[in-house]
Amino acid sequence: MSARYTPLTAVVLALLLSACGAITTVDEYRSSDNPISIADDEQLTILGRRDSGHYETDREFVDCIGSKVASAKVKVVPEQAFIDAIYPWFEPRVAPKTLGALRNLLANPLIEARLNELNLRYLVWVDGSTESATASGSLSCAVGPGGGGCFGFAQWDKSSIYEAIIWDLRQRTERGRVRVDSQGTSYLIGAVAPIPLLTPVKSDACAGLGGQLRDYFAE
Amino acid sequence: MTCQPPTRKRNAAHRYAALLLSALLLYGCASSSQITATTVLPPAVTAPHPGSALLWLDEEFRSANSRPNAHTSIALGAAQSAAFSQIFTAMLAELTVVAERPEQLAPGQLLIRPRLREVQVAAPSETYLNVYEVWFKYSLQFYDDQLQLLDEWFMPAYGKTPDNFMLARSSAIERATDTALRDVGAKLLIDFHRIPALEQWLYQQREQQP
Repeated sequence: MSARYTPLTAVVLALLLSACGAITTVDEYRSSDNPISIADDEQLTILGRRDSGHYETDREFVDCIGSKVASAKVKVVPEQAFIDAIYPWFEPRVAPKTLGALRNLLANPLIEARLNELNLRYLVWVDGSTESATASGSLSCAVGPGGGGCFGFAQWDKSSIYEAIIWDLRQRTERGRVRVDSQGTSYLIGAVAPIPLLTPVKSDACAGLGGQLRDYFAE
Repeated sequence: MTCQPPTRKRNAAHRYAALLLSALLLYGCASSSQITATTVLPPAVTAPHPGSALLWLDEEFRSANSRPNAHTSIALGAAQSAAFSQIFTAMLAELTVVAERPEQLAPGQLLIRPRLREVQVAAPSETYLNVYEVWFKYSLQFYDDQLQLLDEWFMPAYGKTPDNFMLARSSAIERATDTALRDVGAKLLIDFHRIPALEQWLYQQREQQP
């Protein structure tokens, strides 16, 4: 009897796990066909946008992209180290939002000198967030003298939408944009113990965006 | 004389333990957040303007301990004193920090007195946003070398947490306070040329330069 149920259980588990995969789409746009070159002594930094009222590009996501892009050839200045080195010009209130604002900022010789000290060639702005939709289904947990448990089923959709914009600080132009859209559904099954089956939309978005940026700079 | 069986004694002990635990839990929910700001600003990238000024940080400012609401207390004094000293030192060629109102100033010298006017804190339970927020309202009083008030400039600073996920209330407010104090530096650098009295004083200092 138990032998008959084992393959069925395996199939159900496999189906559930396969349902937890995220669908990730990466779009890219380049302003020219010229490769984005970076010399051995040059560095880049990846910064999150934090000027919006209702969300912030989270630091963990920015760090994750940094770790994907960094290699022996491409050196990445950590976000906080860069923001501190140029304080307060990249605080949320004053950070340049457009290329025009960047050009105005670099007209200040002190700021330009500090960026040259860091050998910073590219600045990558990352803007976006991961949102969860309202959960559907019903899951209830109860505890009594004889023990406790959770029963039911709940599911919710998550979506990660991020865009990276590459600014060339030497030429003071935009070199390209990469947009990633990752969506998936997570499940929580209550079978005495709650069993979460989480879709890694954010880490998929990081892998998609980070991988594309790494290819840009590794050409 | 009656003797209770051991199980009844055990039950009573369990009831007292449960009562104590509940009381502790309720106390934990109702307890206030006491935060001490420890922000240290990085050195500011700016060129100092010519001129000599005194920065007057009085005892009220140095030991400010704000209570924006019944559950929150933020000890800001040390961190905000360090932040204002550091920013004004970077922005002005000659700056002296004083704790008392000076008797007199040197000719052409400026006296700057920052004052903390208001602190507000907003939690996700109040705003339905996914962030903790902190606002400071400062006023900057500028006195000329005759110790006459030239101008008073109100300056807000704002900080928030990225989100409230897995953050205790006190750590979240501490992080938002840190961001707001960093914002003070950015706001001061932007506002410096917008303050009419200060702009006039800077113009005079530039004119007097050889």
